[in-house]
Amino acid sequence: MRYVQYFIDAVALGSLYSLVALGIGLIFGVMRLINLAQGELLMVGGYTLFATNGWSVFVRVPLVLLVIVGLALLMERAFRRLRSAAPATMLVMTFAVSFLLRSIAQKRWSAQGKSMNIFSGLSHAFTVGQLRIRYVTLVSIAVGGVLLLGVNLFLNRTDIGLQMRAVASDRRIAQALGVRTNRVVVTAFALSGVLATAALLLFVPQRPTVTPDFGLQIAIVALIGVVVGGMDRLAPATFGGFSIGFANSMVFSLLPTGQRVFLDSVLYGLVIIVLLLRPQGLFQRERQTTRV
Amino acid sequence: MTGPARLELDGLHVRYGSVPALHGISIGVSGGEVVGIVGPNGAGKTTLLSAIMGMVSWSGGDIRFRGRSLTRCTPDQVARQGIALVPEGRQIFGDLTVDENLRLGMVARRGRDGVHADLEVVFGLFPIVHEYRHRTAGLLSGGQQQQLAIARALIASPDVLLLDEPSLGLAPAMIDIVFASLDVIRHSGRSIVIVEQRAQRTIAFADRTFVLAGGRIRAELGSTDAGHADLLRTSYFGPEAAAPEPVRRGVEARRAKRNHQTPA
Amino acid sequence: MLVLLAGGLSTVFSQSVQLKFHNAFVITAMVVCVYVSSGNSGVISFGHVSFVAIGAFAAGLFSMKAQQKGAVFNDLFPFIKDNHLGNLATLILAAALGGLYALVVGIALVRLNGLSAGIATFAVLGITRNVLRNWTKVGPGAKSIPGVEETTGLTQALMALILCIVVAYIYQRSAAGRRLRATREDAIAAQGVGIRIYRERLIAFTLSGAMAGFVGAVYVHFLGSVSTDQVYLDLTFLVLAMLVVGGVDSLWGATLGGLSISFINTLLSEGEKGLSLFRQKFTLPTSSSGIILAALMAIVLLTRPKGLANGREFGLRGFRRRDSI
Ligand SMILES: Nc1ncnc2c1ncn2[C@@H]1O[C@H](COP(=O)(O)OP(=O)(O)O)[C@@H](O)[C@H]1O
Ligand SMILES: [Mg+2]
Repeated sequence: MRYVQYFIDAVALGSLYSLVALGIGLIFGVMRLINLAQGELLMVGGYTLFATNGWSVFVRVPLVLLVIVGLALLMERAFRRLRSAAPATMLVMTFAVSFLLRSIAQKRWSAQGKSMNIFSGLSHAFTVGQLRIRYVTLVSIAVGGVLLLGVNLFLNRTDIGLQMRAVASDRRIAQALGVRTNRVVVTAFALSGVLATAALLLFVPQRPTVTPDFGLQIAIVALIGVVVGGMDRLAPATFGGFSIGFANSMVFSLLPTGQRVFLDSVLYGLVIIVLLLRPQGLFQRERQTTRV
Repeated sequence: MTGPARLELDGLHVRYGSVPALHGISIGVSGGEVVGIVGPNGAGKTTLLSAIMGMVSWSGGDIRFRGRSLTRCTPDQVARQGIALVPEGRQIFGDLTVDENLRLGMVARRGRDGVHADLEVVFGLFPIVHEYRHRTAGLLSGGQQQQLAIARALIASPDVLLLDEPSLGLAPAMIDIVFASLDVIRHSGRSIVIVEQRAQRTIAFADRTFVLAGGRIRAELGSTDAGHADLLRTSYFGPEAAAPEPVRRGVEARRAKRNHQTPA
Repeated sequence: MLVLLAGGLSTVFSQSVQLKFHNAFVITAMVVCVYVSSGNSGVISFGHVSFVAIGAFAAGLFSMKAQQKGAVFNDLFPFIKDNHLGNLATLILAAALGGLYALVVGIALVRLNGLSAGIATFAVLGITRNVLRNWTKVGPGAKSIPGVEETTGLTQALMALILCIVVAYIYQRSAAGRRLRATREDAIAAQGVGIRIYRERLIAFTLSGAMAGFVGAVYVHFLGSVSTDQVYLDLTFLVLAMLVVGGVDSLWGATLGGLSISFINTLLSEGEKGLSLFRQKFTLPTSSSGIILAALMAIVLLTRPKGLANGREFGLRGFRRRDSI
């Protein structure tokens, strides 16, 4: 029974990371850019929540969505000029943006954690037999599932979704066919903003304090998941994000209490092993070649 | 849609960094005309088509379509004005289905009117595309992919169709199918610019053919000049170019490999 | 040229600000270390700060007096707790440990390319920090190592930097360095002429690990104390940013990027406290230095995507384009 409990918790955390990973994967797909500043979307959203503590959720949720998507679109403008630059240059550019946003947050709100609370009812738990399940666990799994399905439908059933896949596959040819690549890229950033919003709202019950580094930690873990899963395609990338969240929670539960401080080492060790065994990605088919 | 669909290259210069690739190319393509461009590997043929599509920028001269300059037009804008490209090495989207490839071809259409009629025409020309429309495009054979690439360009209903070495790497029977389809297309009133290394067939097919070498136009031929092609090749490219096929094999193989590796 | 620079600095800035510049020299030395591996091989590494950390912690712990260690860090292994080394010895130890660690890591990881290599080396950084922070037999735990002798002054920092540049230059001009650079330009062709790509990468990785360990020791002797947070994410990204802003494919780029950004960084953070420059007094608003620095880096990247050096390289006679080497 204990393991069922661990499993459910792990699936919930996995869902959250898969949302962030999908956002990273979408952007990488359309412009081959690894956005280290993805986490700052969550961070800025977090401070928005902090600043609006006590307001009605019907105002706060749209507001946070607006702020995060707006910031995602601003980032897109900043990265647009670098589309043909070397991968390392793009990476450092996104780091500069991340650093900039974190510096601003630090200046405005200091490094001290600020508490944000929304949907506090979600932290409550109910018991089924010996299982103790928090509502947020179920909601995370449900929202994660719905959003992943939604993005999948968007990509496969809409024209702009098809164009997005075409741009991810071959940007030059897609554009020569008349696809407005800028619009596609903007859409991908907006979509990743939506995903970041959902992830943020679901992260709040378990991490109710926002600091300037709040998002960086989440984004780095998600990014590692994306690379471990396989960057070149969305499904492996997303599933990689899920896996790292899942492994994070699972390893934490399984480690003896005194050894839990070594959680990171165990996880990173697993990451290295997976990368050595399958450098092209855990869930990637053989023939794929890495680009960068 | 303004003015007749005349495409005009006027003293076009293109350079890659400091290396020039085209030196003052002037070619006019009237509505409904078929223009061939032949020349050896590295002559600048692909560069020429890329410039028309807005995929590379030019350093001198101009390209005009319907009397308006295409300077500063992005490739998608060029495509939407009615110029479609069948790229070198086909470049279909290998991980999408045949149907999805066609849908992407429709992006550049001005309006959805007549889509069904055009699809009928395309499927009539290339029955295989219709038959395999639910398959993953990357699993088709080279010749089938080439048919798909032409179909994808046609479904945009372009006024000018640019083809970059459509016969590259195809079996002779496939080449016949491709040229037969082009023959039908020319009679629908579209202009065609076809780039080839196979001089004879191109010269015979086109209304006018330009010989391109080293980024310059070396000659202009009418379709009756086909018989003299070998002579011409020898005189313009030197004796080693008279039988270029074996030399090109390696290049083709490498190119095919590269296309295969492009992440899907 | 660097000596001139140091001389010039002393005329422009007041004494107190000058002292801060050895930070810039040490950080630039780290950029040069990363360059030796990443610049020459073309494979990015997020893991080099691990070697800096190992060097800094080893040097820090061994330069503490035994009884002092016994009082503060009782858990340490006896051989760490009971031994004390002189200044020079800690530098050598740090270089040796850094090199050894890089060798072990490199044997496993140099066969990776691209992003996989980036993430794997990042994982090494994560493990290093996690272990140093939580295994109190080898490190100070969440506390910092206090009271390390501050023997790194402006001169020592500059000497360390020059040493790193000289080693990097010699390596890059050596047969091994040329072989590695050939693999960067075209891995398949290089292997075709018999270059063993993993061996060459491992040499560079180990060498740069030893250099990084050494610089870590110099760093701790300048900071006076060190905690795991000081040699983790921010330092990693800052060093990489300097490398890329300068230009990742030349030693000159690495040096230029390191010096310019870390000088600006130093100036800005001094500026927050109030800075006299050419006898004028400036004061920046608090914690604005990070904002300005990040914005500056972004602007450089947008306007010069290939970096400040743009492929140019140190040469015995002035600067030359990289391809002439
Ligand atoms: N992207 C590019 N960068 C630099 N040089 C190029 C590029 N593409 C083509 N070239 C050069 O331009 C010349 C013309 O190439 P291309 O137009 O592809 O010739 P063709 O299609 O006739 O074989 C060649 O010398 C080629 O090396
Ligand atoms: Mg060509």
